Amino acid sequence: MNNAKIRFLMGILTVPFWASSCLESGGGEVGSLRVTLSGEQGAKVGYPFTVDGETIGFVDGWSLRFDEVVVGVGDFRLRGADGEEAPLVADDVVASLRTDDPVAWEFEGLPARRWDRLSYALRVPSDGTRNLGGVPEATLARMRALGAALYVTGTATSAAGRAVTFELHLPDAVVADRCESGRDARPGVVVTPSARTDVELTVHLDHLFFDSLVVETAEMRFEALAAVADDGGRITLDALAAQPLADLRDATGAPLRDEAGALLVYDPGSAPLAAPTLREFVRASLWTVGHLDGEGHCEYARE
Amino acid sequence: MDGDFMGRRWAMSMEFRIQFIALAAWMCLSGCESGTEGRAIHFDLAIGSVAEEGAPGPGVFETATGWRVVLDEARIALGPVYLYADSLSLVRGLERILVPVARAHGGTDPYAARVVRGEMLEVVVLDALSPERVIFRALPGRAGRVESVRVDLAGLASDGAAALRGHDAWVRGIATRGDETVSFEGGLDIPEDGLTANVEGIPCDGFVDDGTTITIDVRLHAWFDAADFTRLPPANTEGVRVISPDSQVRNAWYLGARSLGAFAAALMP
Repeated sequence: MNNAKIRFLMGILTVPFWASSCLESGGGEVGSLRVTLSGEQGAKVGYPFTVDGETIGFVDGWSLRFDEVVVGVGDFRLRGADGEEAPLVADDVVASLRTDDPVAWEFEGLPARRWDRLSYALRVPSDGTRNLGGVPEATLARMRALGAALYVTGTATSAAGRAVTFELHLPDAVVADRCESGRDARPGVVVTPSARTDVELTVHLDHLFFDSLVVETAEMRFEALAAVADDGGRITLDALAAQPLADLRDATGAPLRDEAGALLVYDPGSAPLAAPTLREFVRASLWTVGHLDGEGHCEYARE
Repeated sequence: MDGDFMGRRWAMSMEFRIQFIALAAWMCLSGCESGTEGRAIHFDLAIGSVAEEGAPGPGVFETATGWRVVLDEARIALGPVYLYADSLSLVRGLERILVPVARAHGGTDPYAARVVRGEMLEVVVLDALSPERVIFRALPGRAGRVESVRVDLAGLASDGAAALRGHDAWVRGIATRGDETVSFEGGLDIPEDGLTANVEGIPCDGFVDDGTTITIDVRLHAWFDAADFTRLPPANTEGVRVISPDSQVRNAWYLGARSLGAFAAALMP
């Protein structure tokens, strides 16, 4: 085959490549994007609560209210499947989700198209992190001291009226990548031309209390956490290290049993826990709290 | 490279090179794999067990709870086995596990498109005290990097199921701690609920090609590392304490047998 024939063949073969690129260019139209943060109903009213006729709450009779739900978020990025990166700069923000769904960023003049790859990071707030309002300096200092990207405090009460306070946190920075929208289960977001598009970075706080990482019927429980409360009735993430997953105990030291009377076991499956304790189980549960538009899930990696 | 070749290479016109690059990019976007990756191959899979360092055999180990355990019987049903091209990084791996958990997630599996380099679809009953590995030869696969392995448990074995006495795993042995000696036996049942029976993300870094052998070894110490044998039911008439379904030892076994610490995988060219 001579060079002329090869060039002709190459030209024919590359037509689909160039043609598909042109079709995805979006024609130069632009739109705006508003990004809000939310901890959903759970952050605002605690557990249990009822939505669409379904009650979300603890199976062991506990109820819970949050005093603080604070999250640090940054590195919000949009990329197309063709590799194009949206021309936006998102600074790191920290926000309270306890009462509001605050706006983190508003971006103008974004190319109108589907941005298939949406990612963001849950990060420990630094001195330069923009406070969206409502997060006390003392809380920020506490998050920095703990290395917490997510920080929650509150009070939980058993069915018998025993009350404990808790301070739990995500001790890792985590990137939520390739998020799918909870609205249409499609990857990323479509920026509409000449209009404002809204997306919500949603934090699922119920993950904190799941008893399994491997079944669809995971239950929310609190008794195993309450058992490690100190003399002042306070629970911390580190205190959960005293609960071996294979030998969970109640506050009296007796083996914990479930509603059917069987020994209670939290099930991490083959999740790579740093230690087989409740602390590491809850930590692992927290790696995946970040979602998109409600129920849309992402891929996660430690930053 | 000799000079003549380099000369011919640089004599290519700019137009030709641009078109060549464009063609290569298009091929990649179309899902073609480059180099030798993706080529059809046959590999061997060897499944066995491995002793802990300093132990006389795989069935002798000490637990984190202070027990010295000597197993006389240890069997488990294993398979299918999948070799994955990606490492399924720790957190990402967990999300795969979590997807069906969180409410209203819809069961979408973002990893359905993971590249599988090879698989063994049978269920084998492994005698984990046998010095011989069970070997599956000439399994079909695709050449390329393997970064993690998945082993499924709780499958129905066509051969050897009787040795499990109706369970997914079976053990008999003696545990000693100080003056305490416990003779025990029992079976483990693993529910097939969600991803309960899938051991995902077993590290295995290498390149699988024609003639490669992948070894997967069970590490029995992980089975009972968190077990307290004093919490077994009283001994039966034969002096044996049976691992009951509602016992701490069963729960420790259930967690340990499905943990990443219960398996080791490697590739041997």
